[in-house]
Amino acid sequence: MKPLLIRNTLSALLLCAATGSYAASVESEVSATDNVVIGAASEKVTLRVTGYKNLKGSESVLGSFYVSTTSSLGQLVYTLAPEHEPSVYNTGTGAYLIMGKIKNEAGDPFQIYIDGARVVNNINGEEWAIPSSTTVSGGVNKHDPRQNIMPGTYNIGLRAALYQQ
Amino acid sequence: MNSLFTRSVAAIALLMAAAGAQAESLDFEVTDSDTIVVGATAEKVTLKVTGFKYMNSQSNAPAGTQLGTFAASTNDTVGQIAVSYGPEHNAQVISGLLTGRIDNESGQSISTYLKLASATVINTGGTDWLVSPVANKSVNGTLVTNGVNNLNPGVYPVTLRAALYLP
Repeated sequence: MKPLLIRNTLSALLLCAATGSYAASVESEVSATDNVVIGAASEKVTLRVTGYKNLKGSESVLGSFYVSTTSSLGQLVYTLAPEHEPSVYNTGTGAYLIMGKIKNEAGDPFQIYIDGARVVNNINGEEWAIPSSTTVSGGVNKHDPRQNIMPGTYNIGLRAALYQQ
Repeated sequence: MNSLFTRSVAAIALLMAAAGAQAESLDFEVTDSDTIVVGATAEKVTLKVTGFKYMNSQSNAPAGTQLGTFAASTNDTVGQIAVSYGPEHNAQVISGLLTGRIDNESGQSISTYLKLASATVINTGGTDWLVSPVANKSVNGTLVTNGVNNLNPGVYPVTLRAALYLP
């Protein structure tokens, strides 16, 4: 009887130790950014990116963006974030667009392009879309609308700036 | 006269070369991102940060002056919503508050903290997080000044992180 009690106690102790060794963790991390603006200094460039949720995978538009400037001192430009490996897409109809890749958590890549401008310039080694107005509402589109996008969560990031020659 | 003409042409050529050598510049760059969610995969955590605009500059602004808001939510039943600063804000716990520094384009700083009701500060994986009770599946908090601060004019980017804390 006694050895059984000892075995049970040891088992309980081992179980406690194993349970205690589970480390707390954080998962499914996301981040978001905005600006606090104080005083006369106004935000020169505004950019808002929205990824669409609950998509079936067959939709041709996956998100939208809005970019604008209040400055007349430079040319508004925008592009995809570096992780999307932005490059130039020639539509063949006289328009040039920024294209790139998005990936879900499984690493499945998918080619997209952003619209809103027909001109792309290489500035300091990077491709930037040059819109003809100071406010652009554009879409994040499938490069091949016939291709279904795999299920998952895909980050989409854009950059915008003022370009001065 | 010929020599003067030659010098003038040379000067103009040098001026043009100098002007041409000036690098193109990209200023006031901003970034923004979101997630595209396809299929049954549900986004476990959402986060929205809003910085206040058109605030008046102020010397010795009182502690607790609101600079922005944040909202986070989850559809996970087990995890707890955890919120923290982006790494650039050098977050640290001071007097039980999760504080972080925000900087404008001139390098002027404001000391802030994240105010979130019922949340506790927990360090996991070397990062300090404000963790809400498990029952709170949607939380709203504020970004406020930590102590008395000068609110100098400028644009101060604020990046926050949200995640699920699994104790």
